[in-house]
Amino acid sequence: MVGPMSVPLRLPRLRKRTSPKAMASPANIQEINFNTDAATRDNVLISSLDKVLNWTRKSSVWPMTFGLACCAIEMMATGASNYDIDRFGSGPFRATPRQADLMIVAGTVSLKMAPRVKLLWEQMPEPKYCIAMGACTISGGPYIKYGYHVLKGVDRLIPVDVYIPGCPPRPEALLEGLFRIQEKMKYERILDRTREGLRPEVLVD
Amino acid sequence: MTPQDIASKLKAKFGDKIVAETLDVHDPFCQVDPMSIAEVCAFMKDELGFNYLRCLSGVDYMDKKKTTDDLGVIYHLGAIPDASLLFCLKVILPRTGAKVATVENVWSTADWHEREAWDMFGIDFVGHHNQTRILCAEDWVGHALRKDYKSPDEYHGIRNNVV
Ligand code: SF4
Repeated sequence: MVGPMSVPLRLPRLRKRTSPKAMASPANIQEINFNTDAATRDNVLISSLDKVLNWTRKSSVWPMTFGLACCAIEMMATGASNYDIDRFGSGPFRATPRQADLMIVAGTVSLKMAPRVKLLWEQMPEPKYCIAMGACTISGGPYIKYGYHVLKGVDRLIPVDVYIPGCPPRPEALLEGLFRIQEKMKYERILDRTREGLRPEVLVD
Repeated sequence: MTPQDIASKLKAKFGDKIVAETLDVHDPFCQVDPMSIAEVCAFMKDELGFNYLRCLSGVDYMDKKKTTDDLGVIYHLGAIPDASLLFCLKVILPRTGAKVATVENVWSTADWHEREAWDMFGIDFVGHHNQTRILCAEDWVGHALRKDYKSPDEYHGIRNNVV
């Protein structure tokens, strides 16, 4: 393109023996003015790739349909019109793990179910996140002592990002858990897939 | 038909296969010989009108002092539409080698109930067409509602202990 589209970018020239401090001083930072014409103004947007990716990711969290016990009723309530999880960019509950990126483990995980939970988790594509919803999923809950076949915490099986205590947690708590997941997504870095730089596991209370 | 009537009819028909009777309680019952329970139940259904098996439960009678360690099966019988027709049958079984005749040919609803009693208490229902576990996984070890049951520390590589 010629004419107004060619934006003159004047970057600070690197000189020898310029200290970083001097480089950052206001005199050396030159404003890049994209407002030169309407076409540029309306079509160019500068951001970091991480930010854009994380924003798209956090604005469309697809949870997996995964109700195991009474907590799932609250999860359904969260998806229904009263609490309306769709407001926050989540909510198309997927019937297959291959289309989901959030697993809300809602309910009692029995040992019979546990290998299936793990299989479903492994079938989900990366990046994936997990919410442990309710006392049962966090620790075995009411069944911790006498529940002969209840898994004592789903984090024995799969990595958990957010724990939501309660028996069952209210829909607001699940929404709060979703916000924490979204907050976590904001700190993802595309070149750091080890998830090490992420915030630690959080607890909604 | 009062419980007394039912008990006397049963005794007239089956004699010493009716081991004991307790009629002055909330749920009157007769204790029956385990291997004769199917014929007794068929009689209850066909002659006395108990067309509805309300519940079939396994019981572990072991108490803390271990004075008894018997198992039992309790049959709650009812009738539709005559809701006042209620009676119980009971069998007492030894803990090892607990065996009782199946009643699934009398009331087909007994099928799943008996599978559950097998799953949870290890009571063998002789003649059942498909006596497999119904709730626990197929490869589960032991019978979980027995009072001396200890749950496994590990299942398929998953830790199951409390801490
Ligand atoms: S935590 Fe409570 S409400 Fe949730 S699945 Fe367990 S028992 Fe049910």
